Amino acid sequence: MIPNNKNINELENELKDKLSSYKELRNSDNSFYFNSLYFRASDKLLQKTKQNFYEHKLINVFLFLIVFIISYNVFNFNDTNNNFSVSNNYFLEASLPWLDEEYFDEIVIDEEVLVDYNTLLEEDPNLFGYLETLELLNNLPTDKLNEIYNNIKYKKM
Amino acid sequence: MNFVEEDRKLVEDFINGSESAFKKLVDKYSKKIYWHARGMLNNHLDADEITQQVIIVLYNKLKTFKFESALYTWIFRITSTRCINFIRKRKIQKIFSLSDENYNNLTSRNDIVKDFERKDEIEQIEKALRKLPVKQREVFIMKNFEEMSYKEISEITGKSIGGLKANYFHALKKVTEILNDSEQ
Repeated sequence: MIPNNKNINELENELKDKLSSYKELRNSDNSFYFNSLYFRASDKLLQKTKQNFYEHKLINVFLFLIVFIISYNVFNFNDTNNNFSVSNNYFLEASLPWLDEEYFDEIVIDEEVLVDYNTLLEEDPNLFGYLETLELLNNLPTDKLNEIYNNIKYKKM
Repeated sequence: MNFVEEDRKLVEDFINGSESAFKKLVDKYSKKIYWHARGMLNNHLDADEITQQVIIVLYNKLKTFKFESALYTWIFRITSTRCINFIRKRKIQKIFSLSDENYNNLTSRNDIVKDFERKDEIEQIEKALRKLPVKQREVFIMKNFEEMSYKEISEITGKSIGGLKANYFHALKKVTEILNDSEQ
C-alpha cells in the first residue's frame, strides 16, 4: 500500500515539535569539532600514505632479495663458495660448456700427477718406510711372494 | 554560481593540486556526512569514524568523479553505503558476542550533544531512530532532517519512489508512537 501525502503530512506535523530539538542541534554551530574532524582525517590520510610508502619500499627490498637469491643460485656468480676449485675449470658450469666425457678422461690420464712429498712426509713420517716395503715387494720373484703370502695366511708372520 | 557549479569548480581545483579546495569541500559536506551517519548509527563515536572514513574516500576517489550525478548525491551514496556496512558488521559482532552489549550507548567527551540543553530529548529521538529498520531509518533521516525529495533519495539509495514513500510513512508512524509512549 502506498500511503497518500495527506497521511504523511499529518504525521509530519505531529512530529514537528518533537523533532525540533534534534533539528536545532543539527543546525547549531560546531565548527570547532568539524574542523578537528578534517584535521584528524588528514592525519589518518598522511599515516596511510606513509605506511603505503614504507610497504612499497619493503616489498621492493624483498623482491630484490628473492631475485638476487634465485639469480645467485642459477648463475653462480661467486666461485669461492663452490665445492670445486677455481683452478679446475672443468667443473665451472657457468664459465665452460660440459666437456665430452671421453675427452675429459684422456686429459686426466695424460696428466702427470705431481706429488708433494714434503707435505706428505710431514703428515705421515712412516710414508717412506711403506714406499720402500712396497718397492721391495714389487721386485720380489713370484715364488718368494707366494711364500710371504702363505706365511701371512697361516699366521706365521 | 549555483552549488553544483561551485562543487565542480572545487573538485577541478582539487584535481589540479589545490588542497584548500578540498578543505572547502570538506567544510561544506562534513556536517551533512556526520549527521547522516549519526542518524543511522545513533552514537557519536561511530558517526565520527564514518565521517573520517568518507573524507578519506573523497580525497582518494574525487579524481575519478565524472559529474554524472550531483556531488552531494555521490557523497551521500558513499556515506549511506558505509553506514549500512557498519551496521551489518556490528550485527555480526553481536552474533559472535564480540562487542559489548552497551555498545549503542557509547559516549565520548567530544560528543556535541554533551553540552546541549535539550540533551534528554535528543536521547529519546535517537532511541526511537534505533528501533527503526535500517531502510526506514535511512529514508526518515533523508526526508525529515536533510529535507531531500523522494527523487533525490531514490538517486542515492537506488529504490523506487513508491517503496520510499511506504518506508517513510511506516517510519513516521513508528517514531510518533515511540515518542508518544516515552512522554507518558
